[in-house]
Amino acid sequence: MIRRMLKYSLIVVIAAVIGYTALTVYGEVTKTEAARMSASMLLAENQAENMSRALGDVGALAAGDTESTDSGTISPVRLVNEATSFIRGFGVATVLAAEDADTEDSAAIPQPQIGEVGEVANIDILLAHWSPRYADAKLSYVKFETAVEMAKASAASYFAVQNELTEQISAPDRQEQERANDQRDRTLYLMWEAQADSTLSKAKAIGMQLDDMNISLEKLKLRTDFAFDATAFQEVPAAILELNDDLSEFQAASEAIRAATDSPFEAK
Amino acid sequence: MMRERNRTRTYGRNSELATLIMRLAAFVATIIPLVALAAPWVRVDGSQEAVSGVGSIALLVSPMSEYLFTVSPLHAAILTVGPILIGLLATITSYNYWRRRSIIWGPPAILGVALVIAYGATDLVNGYEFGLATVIVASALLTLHQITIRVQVLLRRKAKMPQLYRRLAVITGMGHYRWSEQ
Repeated sequence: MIRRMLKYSLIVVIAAVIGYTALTVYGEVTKTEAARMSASMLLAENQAENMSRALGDVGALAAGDTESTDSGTISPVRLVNEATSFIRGFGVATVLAAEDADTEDSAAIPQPQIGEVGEVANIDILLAHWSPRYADAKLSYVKFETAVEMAKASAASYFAVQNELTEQISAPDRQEQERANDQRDRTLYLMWEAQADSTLSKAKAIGMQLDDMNISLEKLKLRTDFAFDATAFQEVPAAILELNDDLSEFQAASEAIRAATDSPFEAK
Repeated sequence: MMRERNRTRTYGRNSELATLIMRLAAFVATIIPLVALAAPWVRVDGSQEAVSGVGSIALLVSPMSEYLFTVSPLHAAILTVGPILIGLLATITSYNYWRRRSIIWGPPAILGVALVIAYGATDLVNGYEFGLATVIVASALLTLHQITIRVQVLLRRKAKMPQLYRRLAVITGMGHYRWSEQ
């Protein structure tokens, strides 16, 4: 009896799970075009916010905002500058020493002091702060880009279906009115798409700057005698501020779409 | 003498009842991961609502699957296929518990998959919810149960510490009880 009871309870649970899964998948497959579009646009908006936050973090680090870092006492830019100046000095000194090796005593070559070497070792702290923020910023850009692509694909399907339905209306007046409504939706969407593309292109440019900064930091870690260009550390926060303005406009465009009456873009 | 016999009989009946209760409890624990599939599991990045285990499987439907697999194919696979694996493993484990068979690899496998979903899909997941936490706890307890069964079997085979292995037989629910299972 016990065994039978357990057997039936197991069968019931498995059947319930399979049934629930089938219903959920069916609900997802049969979702309307409007619901898909609404969901994908909402996802794009959320990812835009996430990207703004991630770039804000990396921008704060590049600006040397110590409060935003975990240490609370170290300014990464100061560390980079100190490390750079030391490396530059050491590199130049080494080159000069190599050039004058025949004429001067090797004891005259300036050697790095213990304190300066200690400062250079802090590049690891900078990288420990930098790397996760950089990876997060890059990933958030990919997510935003993919979400926008998904929203565009959903919009294309939605407008195709919308157009098809409008064409099926037999009454000319009614059809004309529906066409006007469709056009209003399309105009709103095109505004949103233009804003999304603009934001994407700016974010891409910042991403390229971040790539360059990352390579510079990796090279700095190698301690070779190259010239480290720290100007990107000042340029990126400004670029991110500009992007934030763009993101605000993107949000406004999204809100305008939502404000439209009977809009399929209304978040569900 | 009579009182002593009665006490022994009562103790035997109590231990048999405890064995049966533990046997049923262990079986129920194997069903928990299946039930938990309907509870919130993870919070997908960019989504405002938590997704259930079944909902994670439904993420395989386009266009969401395209988005997830473009962002991170490995993490997307973990997020969407993980619940299916947990469902299958829980079914196999439950079936073996029903037949009173020990399945040493079942619960650790469920635990492993649940931990991979919780910590191995961080590109797409912000955090895990109580449904997945329940699976982790239930599978950890079942893993402990399997280890205890192995210890009990080992002690019985080597005929060492008879009192302990009798107690373990009660605790694991693997011991004898008079109520028929047929």
